Amino acid sequence: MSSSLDRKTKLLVVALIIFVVLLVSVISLYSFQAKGVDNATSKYNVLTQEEIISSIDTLEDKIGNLSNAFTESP
Amino acid sequence: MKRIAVLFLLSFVLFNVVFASSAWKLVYKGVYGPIEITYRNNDRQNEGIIYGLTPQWHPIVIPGFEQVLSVRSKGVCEPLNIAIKDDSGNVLYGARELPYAPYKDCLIPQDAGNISNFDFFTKFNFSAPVEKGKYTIQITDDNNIVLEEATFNVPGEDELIGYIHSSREINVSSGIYKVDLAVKYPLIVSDTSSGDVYLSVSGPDLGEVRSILNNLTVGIVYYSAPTPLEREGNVECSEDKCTQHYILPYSKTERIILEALQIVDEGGYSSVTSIPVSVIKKEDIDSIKSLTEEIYKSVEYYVDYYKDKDEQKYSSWLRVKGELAELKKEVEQVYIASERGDFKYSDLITLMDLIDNGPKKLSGIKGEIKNIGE
Repeated sequence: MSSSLDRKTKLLVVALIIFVVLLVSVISLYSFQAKGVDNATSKYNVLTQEEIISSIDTLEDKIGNLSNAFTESP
Repeated sequence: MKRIAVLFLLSFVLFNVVFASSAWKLVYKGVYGPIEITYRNNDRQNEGIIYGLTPQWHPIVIPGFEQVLSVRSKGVCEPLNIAIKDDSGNVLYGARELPYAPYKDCLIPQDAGNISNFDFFTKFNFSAPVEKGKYTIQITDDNNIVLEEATFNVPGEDELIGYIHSSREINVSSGIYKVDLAVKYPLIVSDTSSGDVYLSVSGPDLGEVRSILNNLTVGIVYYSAPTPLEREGNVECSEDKCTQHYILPYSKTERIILEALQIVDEGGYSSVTSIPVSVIKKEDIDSIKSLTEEIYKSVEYYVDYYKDKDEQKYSSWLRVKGELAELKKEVEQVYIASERGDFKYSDLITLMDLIDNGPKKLSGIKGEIKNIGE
């Protein structure tokens, strides 16, 4: 009786461990997919969407300033 | 203490008087192109000068760019006709204009007096031909009498611009001497490398050439008195020409006017010839290049990232990448020219396109990115 209980408990523990491992894997996979762009921005020095827009603003100004070389001073 | 204050005040007043008087000596010269012709037509009473091509932004003829031709005629206010012809005599452009100054459309007031000594100015705006070659400008009156013919060259887009020159002939007892101011166009300067400017004098007597050159300097003309540039090295002479190298200590992207100046009494200067210089700071181009690359690299990442995940976002980022790639190509071309320190006409055309349309393109790209959403 007691040995059969031990077996059942063991099986339950193993099943629980497998379930937890699977659950953690699924959560982390989902989390990686959701945060993929954000992670990459810091990992690979990729600009965020907001940073791209702000960099384009700066670039616009810098290119615009080149016109000073060709326009008469007031 | 009072004495010091009075002395300071006096020196300040004296400085301003000298400063102002030397500024008065300066006469701003227009920027004239490679053509400068005086004509005297025997069939007519009047005479005139074609001042030459005066491009709006550039002192050179750039294929396809807007040019301004100013014609000066003396004593007669009348409409003038222009025809620009190619080598085969085909008219590429024709126009009829009335003088714009001193009396617009020849509306001369009755109290203007005798106009026989008046100079009248007529302006023609047209686009320079795109094809490389020699072109003829013909100025006629309404009776089809040819007042003047002149020629100008349109360079090939792959030609280097190199140095542009502004020169003037001066009469000295021993003959006619030519003063020439030369500078690269555009002039690339950086924090570590200044701009080179060359002033040369040529003529029949080398001793006189040296003497004229020694009495000249080069200055940047701001709103008042000119600021002389520093000489670099010694005068170098060849057969009939001596050249002095000057350094432009300038590290800002700006259009300035350089003048060859004659040193006159009272420490003042008199202008001999002038040239517009488009100074471009190398670091400005460098930072445009690195910023464009940084943005492009990130956009590339988003394209790859959304490739198999979100069809709509993928195609939007792909479109952004394509538009940015065009701009990046232009930036790279300008960067390579700036590294070389020598622009080809095609590089200048690309630079002008970047300046004219770059900010507009970027605004469009920015709008698209905003629409993609997070």
